Amino acid sequence: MPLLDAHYQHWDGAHVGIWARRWVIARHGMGSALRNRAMRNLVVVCWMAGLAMAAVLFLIGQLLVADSIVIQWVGQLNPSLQVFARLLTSWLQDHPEISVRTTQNLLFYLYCVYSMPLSIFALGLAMPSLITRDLDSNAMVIYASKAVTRGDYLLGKYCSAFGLLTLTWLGPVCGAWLAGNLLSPDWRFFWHSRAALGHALLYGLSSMAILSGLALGVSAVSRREKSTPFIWWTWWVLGWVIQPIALHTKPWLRHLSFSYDLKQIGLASFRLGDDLKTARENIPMLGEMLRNIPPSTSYALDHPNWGGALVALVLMLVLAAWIISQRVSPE
Amino acid sequence: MTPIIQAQELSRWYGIVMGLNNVSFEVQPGLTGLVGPNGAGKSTLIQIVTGQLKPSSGQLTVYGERPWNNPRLLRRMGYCPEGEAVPKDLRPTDWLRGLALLSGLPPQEAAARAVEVLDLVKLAREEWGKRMGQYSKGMRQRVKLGQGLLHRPDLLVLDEPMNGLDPMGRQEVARILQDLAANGVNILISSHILAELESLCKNILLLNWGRVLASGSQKEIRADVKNWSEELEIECDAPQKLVRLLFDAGVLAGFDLDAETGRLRIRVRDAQSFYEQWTGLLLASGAAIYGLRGRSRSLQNIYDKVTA
Repeated sequence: MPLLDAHYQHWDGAHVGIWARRWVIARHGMGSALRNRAMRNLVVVCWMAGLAMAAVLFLIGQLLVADSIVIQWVGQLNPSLQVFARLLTSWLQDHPEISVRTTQNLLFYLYCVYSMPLSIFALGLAMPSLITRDLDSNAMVIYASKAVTRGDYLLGKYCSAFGLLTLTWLGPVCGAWLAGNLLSPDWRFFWHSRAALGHALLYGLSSMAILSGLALGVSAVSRREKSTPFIWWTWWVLGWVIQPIALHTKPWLRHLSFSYDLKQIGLASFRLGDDLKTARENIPMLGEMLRNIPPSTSYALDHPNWGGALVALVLMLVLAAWIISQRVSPE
Repeated sequence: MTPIIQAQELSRWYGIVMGLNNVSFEVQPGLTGLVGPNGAGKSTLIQIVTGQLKPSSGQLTVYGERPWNNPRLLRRMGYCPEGEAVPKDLRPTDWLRGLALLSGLPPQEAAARAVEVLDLVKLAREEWGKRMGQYSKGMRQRVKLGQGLLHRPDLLVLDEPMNGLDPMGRQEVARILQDLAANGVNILISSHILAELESLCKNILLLNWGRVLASGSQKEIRADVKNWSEELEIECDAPQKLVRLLFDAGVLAGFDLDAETGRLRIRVRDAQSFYEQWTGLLLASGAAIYGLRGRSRSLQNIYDKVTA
């Protein structure tokens, strides 16, 4: 008896498109990374932070309603604080555009910059499922023999890194923006916060694109599952260590740290200096307080070194591309 | 019959090392064995056929198309590489389903095919739930073979598929391949062990040092080598006299004479001409023959000769 059905037929049905096939690679990479419990916990932490952001946006929205629960609650706590709150509320009601834009811009900046370590850590956890494991098992030879090119394979893997970063980084920001504005007392908040969202998208998308490329490069450095996360995290930590030392010796060395470079891009994207200036000039009392910010901080906010950072990041990406071309080379 | 693979002056270098050296050949439909010792250029040729490598010069086409960077053609081909190529952290069904999707099969068909091929390569169902890192080499080899069949290819290319299989496993794989070939699948299979392919393949492509030494059906290859030296081992009482006579008659390509045993081993130039003159020369020499052994013209002998 033949082992195979005697009516063997070559597959001549409809084939799914190339984007569906690339998506298979991306989904597999993400799924493989999310099988790690630590990675799932990280995603939960990031979304909790997103929820907290949404709560803050809700509270800020309540400040724009004269008799809101928040104002009453503040009054019960401290009557003098209630006077301050009412003053602020009346000002905010007169300038909703400035208040919404500034607060959301600041909040998104803080989240994007201070949650970056979580995302970098998450990428380290995902490192084996990007390219490392395929190098180790040599399965890449088989992928390349299917109806996808190595370019498709790399694009799929890139998308899986990008997708993971979306889960830990930009997703919570966009979720907070949506939830915070849905809970706001005025639909116009969506419109007023457009610049803040735009800044977050500009910074988030560009940083995620850069980080995904760098992570792909590092994941191709070795075929050992423990090596590539170690290299990634070491690079990141060394960058942190170098920053304060380089500041007093050779400032350009700071650009060896990709997290420093991304922070500079972040400062340039969110234009916090402009918001600070607006707040100083327009917001009563709070503006006075903001005048006490040290000049060095103020200068750093106004003049981010984004040019140098961009050059450094591009050079890092070129290096990553070279590593990938060597390691994932078809020949 | 239209050949499925055609190579013209095909070469492939690795720096200064030559993997394939200006080879031209055709592979006809059916089951074709690619034979040669390690380093002969088999894997290089297979990698070019499956689009993994780009030729340095010359041209190779499969179904009339160049395989390099050609996903449309790759959809018609299945490939089972030589080395370990199975991810250890996945279950076979998950991996095969993903690969079927990569080949362009719709999701439902992909899931069904994953199950079908695992049955086909006889991987026991109770093993399906395990991650492939827990598998023996033979089991991984079966999954690897299965992935090549997932998308029902027209051409299946197998690089040393018997490695790591026990004798029963080899028999089963051989039967699977024969059934596939009987059902119209063209198969190119490589091995450095000719005996594995001699009974399996109708056509043989013999490689060594990056050159094609012989190609065609087994019958054609045997016919091709009719002019090659034939070896004979002769035991007689006057070996020196006999060899001088044979040498003078111009039929010898070479000889070895064992001084202790008096055993003579000769290599003839033209087998047909030698045997026409052999009886007369033997009578003329007056030597008494005690033993005569000719080496048969099996593919193994030919292989041994040309790869020596």
